[in-house]
Amino acid sequence: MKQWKEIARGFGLNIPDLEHIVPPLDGLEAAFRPLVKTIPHDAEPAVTFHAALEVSEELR
Amino acid sequence: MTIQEAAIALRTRKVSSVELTKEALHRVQSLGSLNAVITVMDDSALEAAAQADRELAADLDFGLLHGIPIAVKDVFETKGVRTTCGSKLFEDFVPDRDAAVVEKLDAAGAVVIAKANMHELAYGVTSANPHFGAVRNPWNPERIPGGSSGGSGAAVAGDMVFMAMGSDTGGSIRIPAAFCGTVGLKPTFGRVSRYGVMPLDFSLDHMGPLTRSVRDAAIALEAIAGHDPRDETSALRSVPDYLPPREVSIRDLRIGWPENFFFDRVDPAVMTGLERMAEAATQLGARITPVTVPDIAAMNAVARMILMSEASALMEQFLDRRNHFGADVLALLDQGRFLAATDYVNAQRLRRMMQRAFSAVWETVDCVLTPTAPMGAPAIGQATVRIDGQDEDVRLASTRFVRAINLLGLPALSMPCGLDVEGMPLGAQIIGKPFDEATILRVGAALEDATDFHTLKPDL
Repeated sequence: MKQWKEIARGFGLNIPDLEHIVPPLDGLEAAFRPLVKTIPHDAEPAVTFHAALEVSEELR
Repeated sequence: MTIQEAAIALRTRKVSSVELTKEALHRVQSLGSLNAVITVMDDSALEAAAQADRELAADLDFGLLHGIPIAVKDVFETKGVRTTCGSKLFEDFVPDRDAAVVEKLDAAGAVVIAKANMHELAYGVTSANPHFGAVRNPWNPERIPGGSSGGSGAAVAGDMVFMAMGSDTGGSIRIPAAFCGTVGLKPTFGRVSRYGVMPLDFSLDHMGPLTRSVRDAAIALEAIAGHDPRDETSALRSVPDYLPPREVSIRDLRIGWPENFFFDRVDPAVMTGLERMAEAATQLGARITPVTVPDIAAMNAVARMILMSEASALMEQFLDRRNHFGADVLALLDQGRFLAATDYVNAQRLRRMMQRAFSAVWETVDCVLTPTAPMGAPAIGQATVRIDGQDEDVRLASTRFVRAINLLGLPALSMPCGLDVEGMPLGAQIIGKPFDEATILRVGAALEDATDFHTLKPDL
């Protein structure tokens, strides 16, 4: 598991009730981290940039 | 009375828009203890209603929403009317523009009577708003209405308005629809413009209606859908006719019945309601087809990663004003500040993979029938729910069956499917192919016609 208190210190985050948010962060980390290992090298993200502002994602 | 029925009454002069609007405003006032609205727009509403009456009398007919009293969640910008997003940060914010949805509803002749209360910043499922008061469920004021569009759900269930607009980032239309016993429609991502809607998450926010019937949801969607160049994610596709006919047929339609995930740990009454829906569909000639869906729990984790990253990025500039936030929202925003940029990008890569994986489902079925939530509405202040002998966080339980659908951007309809043992409403969810709202509305209307779940009303 990640050391959230160390991360908070490193990021300069002033979060008073850190203990309260560590369990949900641990839960998300446990669910998410194994998924990262399944991503093929050439997989593109879903968020894309459109060079022309008027171009929409759904062109049909 | 539904929008369809009111539209007929208006055109046969059995009632006027002013009368409907006065009655709606009276309901808002008499049910004020539910905290369903933040701002009431008496004067402009009565003015708009009088104008609608004049237009209809002159045969200027803008469609079925013309002269119908509605509400919009206080996340939609309204020109000259404060738009708080349920937040202390924006308690005095008065926009100088209308959201695209508000523009379209105005063009359709709808009468906006109020801005609906909501979970603070649309970031939660309880609508226990610390700044504008907790929204209460019309079925039981000690219960939450769901959220984040809780005021919209309460206003429709409380017969204050015929339709209320909501927004849905992880279930925020469908959860209040289920908990309040109304219909809620989350359209496909890109179907309805996000322009002028205060964002929670750029890539997960969807706008849609909560209504008293499935056909009313179709009427509302037809009014608000369509391309908007001001929203880069807005689809260029044309808007079809969504309103299912009176004798709607679902014969030979393949309705997917998930073999995994969606029926794990649900209240027995939810299971009973879904089985009754499936039986009704079978009697109507549809084919209930077992289907295995991709890993929804993994999708929920990816959706949470994206939501927490984007929401915290969006609100970072305000996070030094810690006393302006409720404790639950602040905790979520703080969590998002711990997430790495690499994790956000990988979540968006996983999203694309999951989208492709789920598309295989559509090779065997035309839509998928699931519960909206695994249980009825919890009590206000309740932190966990016990389902099938297991305690679960209220937020995670409420979003378990709906959050992934935002990740996939798919259209989904929630409609009533009965009551639990404590008399609280339950919801069934119908998930469709991208941009195929017409099919899920058709299925919903057929099931509504064949069952009596929609006739159940709170005792107010």
